[in-house]
Amino acid sequence: MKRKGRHTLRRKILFLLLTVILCGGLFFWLGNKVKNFLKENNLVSLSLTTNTQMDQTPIEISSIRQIGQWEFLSVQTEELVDSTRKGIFFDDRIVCIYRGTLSLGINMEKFDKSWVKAQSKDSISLILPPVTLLDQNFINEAQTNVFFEEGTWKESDKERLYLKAKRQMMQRAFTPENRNMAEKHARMQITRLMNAMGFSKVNISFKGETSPKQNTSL
Amino acid sequence: MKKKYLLLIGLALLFSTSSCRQEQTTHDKMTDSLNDSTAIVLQLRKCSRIYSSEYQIHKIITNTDILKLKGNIINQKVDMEIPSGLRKIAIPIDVTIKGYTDLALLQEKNIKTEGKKITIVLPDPQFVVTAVKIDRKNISQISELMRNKYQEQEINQLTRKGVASIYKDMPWNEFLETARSNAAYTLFPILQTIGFEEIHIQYRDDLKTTPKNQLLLFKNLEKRSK
Repeated sequence: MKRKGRHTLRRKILFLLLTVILCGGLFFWLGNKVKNFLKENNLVSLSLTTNTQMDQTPIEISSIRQIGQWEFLSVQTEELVDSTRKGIFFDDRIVCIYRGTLSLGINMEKFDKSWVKAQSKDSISLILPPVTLLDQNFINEAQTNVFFEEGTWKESDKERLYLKAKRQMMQRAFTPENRNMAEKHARMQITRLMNAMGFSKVNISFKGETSPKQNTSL
Repeated sequence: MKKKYLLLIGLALLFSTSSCRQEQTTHDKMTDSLNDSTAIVLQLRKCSRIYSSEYQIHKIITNTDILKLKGNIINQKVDMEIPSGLRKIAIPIDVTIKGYTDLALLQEKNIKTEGKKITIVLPDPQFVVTAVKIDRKNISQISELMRNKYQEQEINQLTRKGVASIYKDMPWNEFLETARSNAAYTLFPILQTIGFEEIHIQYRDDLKTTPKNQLLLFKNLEKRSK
């Protein structure tokens, strides 16, 4: 008697579960059909809209400055940086890809007569300052791609991410290999220019260089 | 009896899978686009450019975003604001634009020397956006009850639009003139030290007839390298 009662209860539960699943499926199917019908016949079409356009504001030219930066190597790079903050239930995480272009070359603003070491009618010898990073401000934040963002992040946190990306970009791009490549290209370009000005023999060396290249000419 | 249950389960599964199909496709597409953007690039370009002018531009980008319900119900237009659905932001940005002369374009025929006299015809000055910095300390935003704060992705999108809008508002004629004269000022002391006593630095004669949009080669940082 007891076994028969348990068997009936199990069947009832099973039946109830199947009915719920079937009703749920039917409900979604019908809902979808009704939605499509209303949409096709243009009876109801509602949507929530937001404004992503910016307002018109003026620009301000803060400064116009004369500079003298001779760029010989441009390093275009991307840097992926992330930050995680531990929470009680969930962790907050932000991952950004920053983009920037680093310019390697000679700062001509420091030019003085000591750069020209010796000179005759058809030959010239130049001692140039070492190749440096011409501008410390090289990230274009308008090109930043937010790869992942979860949780609330303060502007100061994002500033820290920016500085981290900048530091990593400099480490990766301003390497001795790239400096050497820039110096080599500088030699080639300046020699070409000097040749065009009438100097057939051109010697170019960089300050602090261990083995200066002599008699460079094209 | 068992067959009946199996039939019912089959029907329920069929309904549920058909309603989920569209969502899965969207998710797959999103995963693909995310995978593409993780690639890190390092591109080197040899060049010979003299940057002679630097312009610092300041702009405050603002956005007023009201949440609205729009559409129609049985041919009746609906356009209503959702209560407490407003949010606003002001993003100050600093854009650095540099004017440069590409000496790689300078050919031998553009340099003429006669004893202590030199004449150089320089290529047209060009401009490039070298940096964009968001002034994080001074960003200001409000959001009402129904709205979230602006996400970093949205701030970047607004910044992109702000930088693009700067181009059409700039006094390009003045910038061209300063870029030209500054390039000459940069080269002048070098040529003087080399020993030239009479120095002429010129530009193309037909510069004024060339449409300005051909000279102002504004490119974002990805497009900087050719």
